[in-house]
Amino acid sequence: MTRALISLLACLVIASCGSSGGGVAGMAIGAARGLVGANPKPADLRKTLTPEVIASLPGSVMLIELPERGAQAGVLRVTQNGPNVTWAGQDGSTVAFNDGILTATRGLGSDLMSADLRDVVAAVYGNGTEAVRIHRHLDGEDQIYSRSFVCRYSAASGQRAKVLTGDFEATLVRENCASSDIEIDNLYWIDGSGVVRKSKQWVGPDAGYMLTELLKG
Amino acid sequence: MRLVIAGLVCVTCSALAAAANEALSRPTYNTYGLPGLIDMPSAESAPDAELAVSDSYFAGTNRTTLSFQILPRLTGSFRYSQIANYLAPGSPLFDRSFDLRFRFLDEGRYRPAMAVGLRDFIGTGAYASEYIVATKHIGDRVKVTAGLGWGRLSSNGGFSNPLSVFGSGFDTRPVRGVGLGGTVVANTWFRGPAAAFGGIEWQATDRLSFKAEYSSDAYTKERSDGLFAYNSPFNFGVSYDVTDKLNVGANYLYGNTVGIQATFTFNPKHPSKYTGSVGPAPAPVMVRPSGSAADLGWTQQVDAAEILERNLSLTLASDGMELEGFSVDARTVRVRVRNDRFLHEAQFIGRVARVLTNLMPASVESFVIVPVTGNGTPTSVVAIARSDMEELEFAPDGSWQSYARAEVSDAYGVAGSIPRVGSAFPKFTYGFGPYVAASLFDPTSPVRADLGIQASARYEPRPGLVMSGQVRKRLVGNRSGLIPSNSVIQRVRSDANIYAAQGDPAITHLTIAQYFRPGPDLYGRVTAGYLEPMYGGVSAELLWKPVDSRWAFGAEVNYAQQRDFDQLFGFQNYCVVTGHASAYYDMGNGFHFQVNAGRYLAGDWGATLIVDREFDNGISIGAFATLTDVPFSQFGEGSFDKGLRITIPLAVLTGRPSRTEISRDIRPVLRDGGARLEVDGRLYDSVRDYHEPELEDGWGRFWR
Repeated sequence: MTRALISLLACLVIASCGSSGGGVAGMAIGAARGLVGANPKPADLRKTLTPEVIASLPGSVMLIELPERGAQAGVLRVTQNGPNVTWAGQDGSTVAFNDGILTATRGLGSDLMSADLRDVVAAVYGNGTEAVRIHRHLDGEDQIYSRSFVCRYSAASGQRAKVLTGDFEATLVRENCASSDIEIDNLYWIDGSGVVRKSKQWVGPDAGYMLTELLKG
Repeated sequence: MRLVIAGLVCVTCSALAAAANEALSRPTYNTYGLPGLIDMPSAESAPDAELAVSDSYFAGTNRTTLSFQILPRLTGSFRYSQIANYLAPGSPLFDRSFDLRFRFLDEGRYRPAMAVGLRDFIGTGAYASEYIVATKHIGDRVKVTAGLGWGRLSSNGGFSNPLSVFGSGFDTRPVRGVGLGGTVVANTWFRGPAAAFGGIEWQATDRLSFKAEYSSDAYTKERSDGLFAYNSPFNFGVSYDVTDKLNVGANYLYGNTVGIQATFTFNPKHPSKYTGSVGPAPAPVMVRPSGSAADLGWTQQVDAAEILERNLSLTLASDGMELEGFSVDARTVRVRVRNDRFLHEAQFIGRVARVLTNLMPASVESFVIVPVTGNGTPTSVVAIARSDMEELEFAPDGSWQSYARAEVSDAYGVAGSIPRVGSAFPKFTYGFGPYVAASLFDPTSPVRADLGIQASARYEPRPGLVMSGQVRKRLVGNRSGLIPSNSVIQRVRSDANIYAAQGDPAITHLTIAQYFRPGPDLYGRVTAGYLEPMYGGVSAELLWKPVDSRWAFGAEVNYAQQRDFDQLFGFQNYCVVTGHASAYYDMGNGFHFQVNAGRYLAGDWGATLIVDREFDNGISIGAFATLTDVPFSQFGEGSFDKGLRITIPLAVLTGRPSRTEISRDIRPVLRDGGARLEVDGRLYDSVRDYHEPELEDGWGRFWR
C-alpha cells in the first residue's frame, strides 16, 4: 500500500524538468525513500579512511556512525561557538559537540535540535554523579518538544580503547539516563589529556545511537 | 450543525480524553470506512487527525470512503459507492454520501464510550440512517458494542421508535425522495422504527482481530435486486494490520457472502519518519572574535558593498534563496530575499541570518531581512541582532528565545529603500513535463483522466511584474467522455467534457500580472489575459493583512469572458462581472476560516464558507460549501456546490526541502451554480506565510 501511495504520488507530480533544475521527479523518488525509509549503501569508510587519507584531510577528522540507519560519515571540524564545536560531513549534515558531548545535529532527520548539558559536562569529567539533560527535537508538525533525562555516572580508568587509527588508554565514563518512557546508555572514552576520543551517544528516537571516533585531533 | 458546534466547544476536554483512550486498542474500520464492527458502527474514534482511505466490496456493492478524524471526538467521512442493479438490472447506482459521528461520552472504568452518528446525511440517501452506539472494553483485548439504529439501520428487527415518548412526530419517517440529493434532510433523522444492533471484537494479537456482529440492516433493496440471498443477520470478520498504515480484512456477511476490505491510514501529525527533514544542514553561525566589531576599516574600501553583495548572492543561491535587494553600512545590513526552497519561512529566515554571520564584516550588528513572496511582493521585515544569533545557536531553548528577540513588522516603505541587486532581474524560468488532469466521480466512471505533456514559461522583468503562460497537449485520456451537461442555468463550468475534447493543444493560461503594495498593510494584484482554461479577462484584487493579525479582508473584482472550447485565443459570447469580498480568520488552534461573498460566474449571488484544519507542517484538510440564489431545483444534482480540499506539501513526504504542494479539491459533482473564477496568484496564501501567526507556527525550524 505504501507502494500504491507512492505510485499515486508519482501520478500527481510526475517527472518534469525546467530551469529550476532537478524537478519533481527527484522529489517523487525522495518521497518514496522518505516513506519506505530506504537509503543507498555507500562504501565502508572503515576501509576507505586509510592513514594516508586521514593525513591528507585538512584539520581535525572524526568518524561518525549511525548503526540503526546503517550510515557513516567522515566529518571535519568547521567552526566553534563558545564550547560548542561544529563538524560537517560531505553529505551536508553537521554535528556539534560540547567538550565531546553531543549537543546538536542537523540533516540526519529526527535531529537533536539542542541539548541542555548544564551539569552533564561536569559529571562526565568526574565532577558529580548525577545530572539532568534536556533534549529538544522537532515533531511531525515541526514543533519543538523536549524530553528530559535524569542521568547517573560511573567511571572506570585504565581501559584499553580501540579506534580506527589505533589503541589508547582511556577512562571509560558510563552515563545511564532515564526519561519517562525510555532509558539510554551513553559511553565516553576519555584519553589522558581529557579528550573524548571515542563515544556512543544517543541522538534521538529515530536516529538511535551515534558512534564517534576522533581520528585526528 | 449543532454537532459541529458542540465539537468545537469540546476541543479542549476531548484532547485530554484522547490521551487516555490511546492506551486502549486502536479501532479497526468497518465496511463504511469508519471505526466500527463489520457493517455496523461502534462508538470509537480514530486517533486525532487520522485520515483513512478504505475500500470494501461484497455482493455487487463497492464503497470507497475517505474518513477524517476532524476533532478528537468528531469523525467525518465522504463515500463513493457503487451498487449494482440499483437503478435497473445492469444499471448501477454511483452514490456519494457524507457521514458524521460524534463521540459524546468517553469510556470510563464501568461506563462505555458513546457516540451518535449520521450516515449519508447529505446525498441521495441510499444509506440514510442514524444511530446511537456504545462501546466498552472488557480487559485489553475484547470490545463489546451495542446500539440503536434508525432509517436503513432499522430495516431488520425494527420496533416502534423509543424516541416517540418525546412526541408522535418520531413515529413515522418522512419519505425522502432520492431526488437531486445533496441537501441535509434533518426532518427524517431519528424518525420511524428503530432497531438494535451489536457485536464483539476480539484482538487476538497486536495485528489480528476477529469480529462478530448482529446487523440491523436487512439490505432490502439489494436483495430484491438479486445481488445476494440474505440468510442470517449475523456477520463474521477478520482484520489484519499488514503494517501500521495498512489494514486488510475479510468478512462473511449475511450467511452466504464473502466480502473483502482494505484500509490505508495516514496521520498528518506524523507524516514521515524523519521529523525535521533530512535536508542539508544550514551554515554554522560564525562567531566574531571579541573586539572585532569596533573595526570599521572595511567601510573605507570603495568596492566593499559590491563584493559583499556578490558573495552573499552566490552563497544564498547555492541554498535555494535569491538575493533581490542589498544595502550595508557600518552597523546594519538590509536584504530582500526570495525563498525558492523552504516550506517554512522561519527556516528560510534563519538560514539567511546564518549566512549573514558568515559573510558580513564584524561591525555589522543588525540584520534586516525582508522576505519576498514568489510573486515579488515584500511582506514583512524580520530584524535580528547578530549577537543573538551567536548567543542562541546552541542555547537549549534557542528556538523560543530567538523568536522572542526577533522583531517582525510591515515591509511597506522599508522594502523600497533597499537598492535592487542588478543581477536578480529579469528573471526567466521555464518548465516542460507531463501532466495528469483528473475528474472524479463522473456518474459513468469514478475516475476520468487525461495524460499529456505541458510546457510553461515565466518572465519577471522587474519585481512584481509577471508574465506567464502554459500550454498542454493531451496524449491519452477519457475526460472528453464526461457526461454532457444537462444544466438549465448558464453553463459556466459543466461543459468540461467539451473543453476536454476540443482543447488539444490548449493554452491553460497566458497572463500578465502586477503585484504591488498600495499602502501599509495593503497588498494589490491586477491580472489580465487568459486567466484559466475556461475564462479570460481582467482580475483585480486588494488585500488588507496587518503583519501581526489573525484577520485579513480582501476584495476581488473580475471581468471574465468565456473562452472558446478549443482554449486557444478566441472567446464565446458569455461574459460576466464577478467578484467577492473575503474575510479570513486564523483561529490559532489549527482551524482556519474563510468566507467569500459576492457574485459567481453564472451571475449568481451568494457566499462560500471554507473551514480548514491546518497542521503546522503545512498539511491542511478542509471542507467548503457555497449557497447562491440559484434554487436547488435549477442547480441540479447535488443541489449546491460543496466539497473537500486537501493540501499536502511534498516536503513532508520526502523529508527534503521543497515548496511544491499537492492540492486537490474533491467535489461530489461540479456544476454551474456557485462557481468561482480561477486566477493564479491570489494574495492571501502567499502573504500570510511571512506574517503572524504563521511565522511563529514554523519558528521551531528557525535553527533547522
